[in-house]
Amino acid sequence: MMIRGDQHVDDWAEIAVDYLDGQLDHDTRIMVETHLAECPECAARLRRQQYVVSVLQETALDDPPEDLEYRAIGELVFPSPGGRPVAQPAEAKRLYRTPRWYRTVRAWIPATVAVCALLAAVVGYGIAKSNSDANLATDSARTGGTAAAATTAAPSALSEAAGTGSPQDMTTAAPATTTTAGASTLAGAQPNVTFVVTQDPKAMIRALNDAETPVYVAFHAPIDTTGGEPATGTTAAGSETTAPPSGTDTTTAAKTDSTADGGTGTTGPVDGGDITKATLSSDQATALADAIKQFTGLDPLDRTLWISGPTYAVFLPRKDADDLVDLVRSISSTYGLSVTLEGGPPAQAQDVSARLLDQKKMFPVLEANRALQPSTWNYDFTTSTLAPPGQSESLGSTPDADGSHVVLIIWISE
Amino acid sequence: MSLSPQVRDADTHLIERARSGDTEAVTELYRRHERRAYNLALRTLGNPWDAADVAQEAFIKAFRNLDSFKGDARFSTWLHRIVVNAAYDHLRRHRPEPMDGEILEEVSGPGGTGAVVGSGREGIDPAIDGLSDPLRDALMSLSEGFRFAVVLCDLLGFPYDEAAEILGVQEGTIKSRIFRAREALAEALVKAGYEVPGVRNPGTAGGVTRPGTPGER
Repeated sequence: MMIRGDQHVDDWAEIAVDYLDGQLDHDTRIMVETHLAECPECAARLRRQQYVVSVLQETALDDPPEDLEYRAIGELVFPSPGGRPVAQPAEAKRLYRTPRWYRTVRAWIPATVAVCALLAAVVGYGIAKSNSDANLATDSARTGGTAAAATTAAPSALSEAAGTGSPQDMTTAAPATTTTAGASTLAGAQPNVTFVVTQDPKAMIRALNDAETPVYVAFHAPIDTTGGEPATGTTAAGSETTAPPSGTDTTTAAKTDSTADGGTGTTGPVDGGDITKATLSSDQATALADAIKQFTGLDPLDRTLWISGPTYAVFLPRKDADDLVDLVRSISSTYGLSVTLEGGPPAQAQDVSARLLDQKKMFPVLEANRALQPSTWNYDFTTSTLAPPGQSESLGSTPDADGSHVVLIIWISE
Repeated sequence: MSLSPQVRDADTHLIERARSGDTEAVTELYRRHERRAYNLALRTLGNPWDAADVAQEAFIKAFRNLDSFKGDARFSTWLHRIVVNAAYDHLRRHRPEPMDGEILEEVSGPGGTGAVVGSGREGIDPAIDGLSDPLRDALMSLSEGFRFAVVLCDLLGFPYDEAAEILGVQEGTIKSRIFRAREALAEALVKAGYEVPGVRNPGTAGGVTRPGTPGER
């Protein structure tokens, strides 16, 4: 552009910036200098520009605070253990995870976000998935089909692994349109079963987001499919029909068929020699309970309310579903376990489950807090009690009433 | 202060190593960029605590999402863009009630008159923020778009094209913003008692005698 004599620097500010940087071609520079020679105002303004630039350029950069490096990359350099069983979390992790400005909160860093731990977690998960998903899918499909055939209390499977459907399947009582394969082998199955088994994180999140009935998350030993025995690994239960308070009519129904056993726990009948879903030793279960305590502050429920091993019951805000899934998958991969999300309790635990859900008003809310610093990947689960003991009756409704929260039962298959 | 090809190569190499889980590479990447990233946050947010929080958040986010860094931009561009976004988020979250004397939405007008109104000092306790120098105040009195541009280019030495990419604006926009930001800064520094060349009546600035103003030259 040409600079006319009456055009002050505001009209050619970009050129002025380049001029101060010495970036103009010869002709343009001459044009600028010609104007400046005739226009003291613009010349003065450019001197001010130059002065400010020099002040800024000479301003020393501050040293970052000493702890910034640790805060920024500590978890990458001291990663959580991944993919191998550990008795206790590493000390470095503990140090990092105790920011004092939180109350009961332990900052939690999923192993999967650590670059180093990522691969281990994915590999570990991949193995578990390849071993189990196909079987889980088959099993859930079969059982779902059977249940549909046997009753009008249409159960459904939301297992993505099962390939039968969208998340709504769990909440809409659509008859399972699954393969008929294997249905005949389950003729004895009771029809009260709606269940979901999935290890797929996205399906888990969807399930937590969409579920209208309590969702069960189970930690258990990796499903062993070696030896040709099908690993059922599924927990058959009636999530819809056991939804309090209307579902109690079905809670006594027990499965007797050999493939429908979900829990190998001590509270229910263990049947069927071909059940390969492994249980955890009590040591493992204790370590796992410690981890859950560390990350969420949750204590197990009273033993009389255990589904199998240590059991927890909370309201989970649906918006925190992804954090919760991250958390349980991270814990399971750390301890070399499997974790599944299921639509209901194991058949033999339906009594317990019903009693447990009767006390819904006492459940705490498990909330993931990310709003505060220190970072985007610290999920700080906090728990709060809805009502003080003895006053739960005064509580009008529970947080799941408006759909914002989902009832979540976490249990360890001991 | 453009990054040389060698620097880019080193970053690229480090990123590859970091992606494969090499923690030393992560540390190295961090150390190469921490100073500018931190100072970007510091000079745009105005205090070291928020700056550290934002820088931490940005680095974590960057390293967590290293896989999504495509390599078609410089790593430093990508990283500082994350810092800028984190800083903007922080400003949004912690925006105080409008301070009197806050900068007009636009730094505008010939000569930058009216660009800086009063000072932003009222809302900030110099004893607390620990950074109560006139330059800091002057920078904080700018509106955000101008502040980020001038900090990136003039204070941290980013080339205009990279600053434009970091801020997601045209290079011409960067230049006109820093031009006007400098004019506003000159005004603010005059008020703070700096002897700024090209100011017709420096004696009337009176910054030195203003209560609460750290005396300067």
